[in-house]
Amino acid sequence: MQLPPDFLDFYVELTGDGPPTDVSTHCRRELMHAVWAILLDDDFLHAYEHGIVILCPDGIFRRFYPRIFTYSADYPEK
Amino acid sequence: VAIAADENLILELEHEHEVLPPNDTSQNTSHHQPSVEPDPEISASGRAVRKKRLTWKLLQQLPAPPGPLPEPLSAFQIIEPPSETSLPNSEIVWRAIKTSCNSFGLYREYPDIPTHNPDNTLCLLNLVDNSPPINEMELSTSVSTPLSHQDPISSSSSSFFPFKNSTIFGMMSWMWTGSSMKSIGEMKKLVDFLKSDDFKKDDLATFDIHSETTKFDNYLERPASDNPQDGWRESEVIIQVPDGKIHSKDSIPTFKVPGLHHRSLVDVIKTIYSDVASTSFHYMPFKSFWKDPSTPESVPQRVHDELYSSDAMIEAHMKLQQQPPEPGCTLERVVASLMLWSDSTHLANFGTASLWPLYLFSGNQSKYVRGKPNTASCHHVAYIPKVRTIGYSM
Repeated sequence: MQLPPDFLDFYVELTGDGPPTDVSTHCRRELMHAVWAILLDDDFLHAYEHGIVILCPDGIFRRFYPRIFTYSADYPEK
Repeated sequence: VAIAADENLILELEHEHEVLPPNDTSQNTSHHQPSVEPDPEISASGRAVRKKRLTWKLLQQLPAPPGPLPEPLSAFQIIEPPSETSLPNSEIVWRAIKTSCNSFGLYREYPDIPTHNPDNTLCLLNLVDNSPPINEMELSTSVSTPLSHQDPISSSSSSFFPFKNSTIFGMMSWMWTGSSMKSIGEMKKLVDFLKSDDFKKDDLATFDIHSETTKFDNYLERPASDNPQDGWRESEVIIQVPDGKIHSKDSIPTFKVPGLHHRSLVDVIKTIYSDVASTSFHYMPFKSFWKDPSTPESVPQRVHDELYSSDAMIEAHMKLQQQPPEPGCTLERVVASLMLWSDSTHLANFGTASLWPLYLFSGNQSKYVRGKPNTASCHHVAYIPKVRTIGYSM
């Protein structure tokens, strides 16, 4: 899942030189955000707003509304 | 011999006398009066078995379960029952239903009468890593409530999938598992199967090893989309790359990063909250308080310990109750609190093999349970691809 040649070649072709550190970091941050854009899909947004009905193990149906409380993450900045 | 031994003992005592300060007589008195204890149990190695005792800490300070809730009936007597007909949403308030204090002076304050109290089924065994002392284990097993309603749904037809019945399943299982060299042990297994109730001679009328094997191969090689069990998908991520030039909105250079493995968040949430493990989940947040039991006049202090007793969760819960319900839905509305975690994870002690996983935990679960590795409380949601720029970047 790593692509040393691809991204470098792409960037060198684009600008004639390798990406400076800040551009690399920026691209990795962009990647993280793009990943989240995929994860927070329409299903999730619908569930966030309208909830999802789940049969709990105690035999009761409940409507669950997902809420994000903590997000402890490091993004691949290096 | 006995006299000789006594003489030795006396010699030893005299020797001790020389070492001890002359005015100290307390030490050697015990030697003259050996305590009369029953013969200790002897283990296989010939040593006395040491009796295991709970330490003072365990005996005195085991975590106590929370005090019971007020009986639903009496609670309704105290508090005005809400009129079910047309209650405006803004009237949903914190009803402050208090549990009684436990032995530590801890009590809880719920916004409403909870529909589920997970701590009823919780025992010490759920919370400790290593097995507690023996008498505690006995206590735990007797306290824990079996999940009687968790009867496995008998789906006799589907459980042998992709095979038609238990006979064929058993034959194929014998054929393709265990040793490839059929030995006495393997034969024994086959005979055991033939003797069992799973084997029915009639089912073998149309049995054909080649077609059944083909069926099995097809099942194993089915496309991933037909296999919703884990729901992993692979996507490519598109990012915009700045190259220092000015672009119009449509001509910004983009780069495709393949290899994002991810699952649907909604599917993961459904899995978490329908799993048997969620019996221990708190659906309703509460405030936890401590009141010094020795001084009745003391002011209760808020206890901050779990996500489901935090202000953030309470705020989210109350906000959710106040928003208009889904049309025609009278189900209890619950905040599914998500806790996400992500960082690079090395896979090897030597070398650079690493992954960038994204994990999901549930805040409805106690941190003591969540923190135990064998409770499978950590759910992986995505594996983030890495963009390597080594060689150019400094």
